[in-house]
Amino acid sequence: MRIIDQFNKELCLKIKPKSILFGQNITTGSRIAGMTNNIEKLNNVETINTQNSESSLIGFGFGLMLSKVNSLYLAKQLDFILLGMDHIVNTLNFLAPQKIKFSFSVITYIVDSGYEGPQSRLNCLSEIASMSKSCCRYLVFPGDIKYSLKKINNGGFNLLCLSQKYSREIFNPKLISKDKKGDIFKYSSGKDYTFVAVGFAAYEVYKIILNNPKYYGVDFFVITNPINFEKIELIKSIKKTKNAYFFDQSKSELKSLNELENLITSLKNNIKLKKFYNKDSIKKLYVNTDRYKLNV
Amino acid sequence: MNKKLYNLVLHSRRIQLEVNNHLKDKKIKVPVHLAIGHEYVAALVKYNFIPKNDKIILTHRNIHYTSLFSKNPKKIYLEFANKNIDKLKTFGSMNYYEKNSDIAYTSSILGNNFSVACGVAKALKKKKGITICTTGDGAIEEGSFYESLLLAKYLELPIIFLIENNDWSMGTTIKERRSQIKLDKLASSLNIQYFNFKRNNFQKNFKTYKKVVQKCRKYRTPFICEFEVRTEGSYKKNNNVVKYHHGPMKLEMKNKFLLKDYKNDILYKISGKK
Repeated sequence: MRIIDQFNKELCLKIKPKSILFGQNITTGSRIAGMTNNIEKLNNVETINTQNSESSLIGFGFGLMLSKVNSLYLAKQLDFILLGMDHIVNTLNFLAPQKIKFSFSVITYIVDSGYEGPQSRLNCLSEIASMSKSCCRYLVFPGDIKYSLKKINNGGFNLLCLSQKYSREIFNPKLISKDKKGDIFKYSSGKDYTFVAVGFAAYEVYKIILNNPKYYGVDFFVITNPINFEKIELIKSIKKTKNAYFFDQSKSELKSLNELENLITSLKNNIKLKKFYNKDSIKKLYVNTDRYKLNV
Repeated sequence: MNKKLYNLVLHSRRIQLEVNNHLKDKKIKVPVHLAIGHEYVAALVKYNFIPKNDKIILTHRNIHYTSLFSKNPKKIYLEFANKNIDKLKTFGSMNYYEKNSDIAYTSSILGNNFSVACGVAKALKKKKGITICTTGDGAIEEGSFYESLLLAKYLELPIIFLIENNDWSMGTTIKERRSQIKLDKLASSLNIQYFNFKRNNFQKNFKTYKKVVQKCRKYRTPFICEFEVRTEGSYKKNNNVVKYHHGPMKLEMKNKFLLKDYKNDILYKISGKK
């Protein structure tokens, strides 16, 4: 099953009765490229196909939240959400101290294809998480999507993002473990290497692992929270393997792994660290494996 | 004039003058936008408001409302004099917050509250209440105003967008910063009913606003009410009239509550005395 289908299936299971789901084209047309398939068939859930007023739609969600109604705004792309940054910063930070038990979540795609002009510049969830101090998460593999979608019922605001580039592909790695907060998900165990991938970099990294026996013995971690994730398990693994590979293909200037990198450097423990912070550098690793046929 | 309405105006005036004294003494550190001269609009809203059913959404200039809708406005405004501002639970005057009150939301950001009000109105749609979203002639220049009108009409939300037009935003009159907005035509283009309230037509305003509220309750659809208001506290500087924006207000008083220019004071006008 494709990532988007897994997501859609899980979303339909997680939505609480009496919730309001809204957004452009959610019950018509492409249904946001499959994101919202079948949502209007859910019992006791209201769906609203809306106008194109992203800023106001985000304010609307916060208004519902403070009125004790759970809601979800399903949007086409993260750059649309830029229009609502006033609410994600100001409105949210007015409401957050009130500890409201109801939730408002925005689910959208990040344009990570890299060839869509200015839109692809916004492949930087870290900055939005930092500005808003909100719960921002990458939705990567089915294992972590299942867990992260629980947040839509936990109260407060969530910004959950799917990959535009990879969500139509099929990936289903087995989830081995996750940390308590649900920020780090482990999809492979080994003793030779520690691979740490931020968000959507995980897709290419997973392909590399599958197709290169050299990396079969790898501890493979996927970071879904772009800031403030717990680092203990990662450090344990890196101390064990002494071979750390960091992957991040976002366009963020606030690199999620900078702090971890500083911690590793301060360990002075003969740890080899390699960084792959853009698509090209990840591809180089990939090119080295091209003698193996890809079959994800 | 209705005595209850007059008492509401007087109550709001009294609290504002007390807060103004604290501002003059520099006891209150956070910015407060006084609204002396706006009280009758807040009093009209309060008069027609059903507590616990209805919700009110405020903007940065809100003391004429908070003085009437807050459970303990004096205590909260005195908290603003607290040196430890960071620990305030009330978030300051422009983001006035009081737990379990009918003030659902207050925003210091111009135009930010329209869409939040739509969300609140949507939650009230199947209940009995209505939402009052207050704003001014400056905020209606924001794109969010149009977006929210469209959203409110599309979803047929029980909401009154209440615009207090004091012909002043930050430091400029309407003429100095933009072309006219014909709100009646904008409203009509969206199939929303618009009502204009001239400052001196108290009797008419009283009846019209009551009717608007009744319609909003009955038909569960949005309305726009534009009130002409005069923010007191203007003063002359280098032969120019400078209108009041925020902070302590320079006022010349006739007595404890009435302004020296009492014949133009809304409190006097609303009393019906001649």
